[in-house]
Amino acid sequence: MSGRSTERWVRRLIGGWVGHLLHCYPIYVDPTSYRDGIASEWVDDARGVKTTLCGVITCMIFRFCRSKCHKAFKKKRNPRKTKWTKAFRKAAGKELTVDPSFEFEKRRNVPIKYDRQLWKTTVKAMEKIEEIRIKRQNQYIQNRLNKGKELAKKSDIVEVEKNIHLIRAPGAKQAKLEKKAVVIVETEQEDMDEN
Amino acid sequence: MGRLARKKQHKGDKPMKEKYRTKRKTKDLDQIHEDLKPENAEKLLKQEIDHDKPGLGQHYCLHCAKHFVSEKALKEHFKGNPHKRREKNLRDAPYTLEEAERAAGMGSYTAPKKVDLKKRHGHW
Repeated sequence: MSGRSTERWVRRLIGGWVGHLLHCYPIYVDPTSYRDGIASEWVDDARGVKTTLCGVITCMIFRFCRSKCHKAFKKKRNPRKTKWTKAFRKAAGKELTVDPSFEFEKRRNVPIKYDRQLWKTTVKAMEKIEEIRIKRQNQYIQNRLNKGKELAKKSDIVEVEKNIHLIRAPGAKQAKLEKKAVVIVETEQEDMDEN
Repeated sequence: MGRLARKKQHKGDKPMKEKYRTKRKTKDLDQIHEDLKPENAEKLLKQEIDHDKPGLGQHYCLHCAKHFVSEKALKEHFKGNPHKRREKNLRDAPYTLEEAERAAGMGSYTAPKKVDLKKRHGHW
């Protein structure tokens, strides 16, 4: 984590503004730290395109991490239905959605007085939380993919059972058994003749 | 670029043109969701007589944000495909910044439920 993003993280964790000048932005925008509405990625304050809209959401400012997102927004794409967004992956159940580890990073809008100890422990906790969160997310995906493997194996077995005639002729086993039976009968008869 | 090549620059982009045309632009889906709120819906469905609007502004389709000339025309419109398509599109709740943040890992994410249109404004 770089210094700047760490600071952002801390702001989020311990709640709201830490000595930052509050601009007259509409509610949607937090001038220091916010995520892009389309891709749900981090956006830096200096970077990012601003845009305003008319209509119900008059005068709201939206900021985007890259032009790709801005274009998608202008085309009125629904992020929930656009495959490359985080919203899609979560709405479609491809990624972990509900977990206590998501509850730490939040916009709380409660100013907190600077406290060195709190700052220190928060930074320390952040790393641990991040680690746990990533582990859980990866595990979720792993479990999801395991299901596919299971199904593939099942379907393979069914396919083999269905198409076994392509490998072995349907009466092949039967003919072999009959041959064996004939041989046995013949030898028995020979034995009887000898006796 | 020759004459013919230039002529064929805009071949087949009619649907896109119609989509972005502003001449007969109606409301966007999120605006309609706002309209569907009971207090707004009531106002829109009982509008005052306006001579400039089709049917004096008395036959309004909330979902399509469109005035019709008569009750009959409105009823016919409800049976039609454009209206049904619009209803289907409206069943998805509008995307919000809060949802975007949840998707980004700020809080747990639960996909929004389908909007029950009948429940929302109580008729048809």
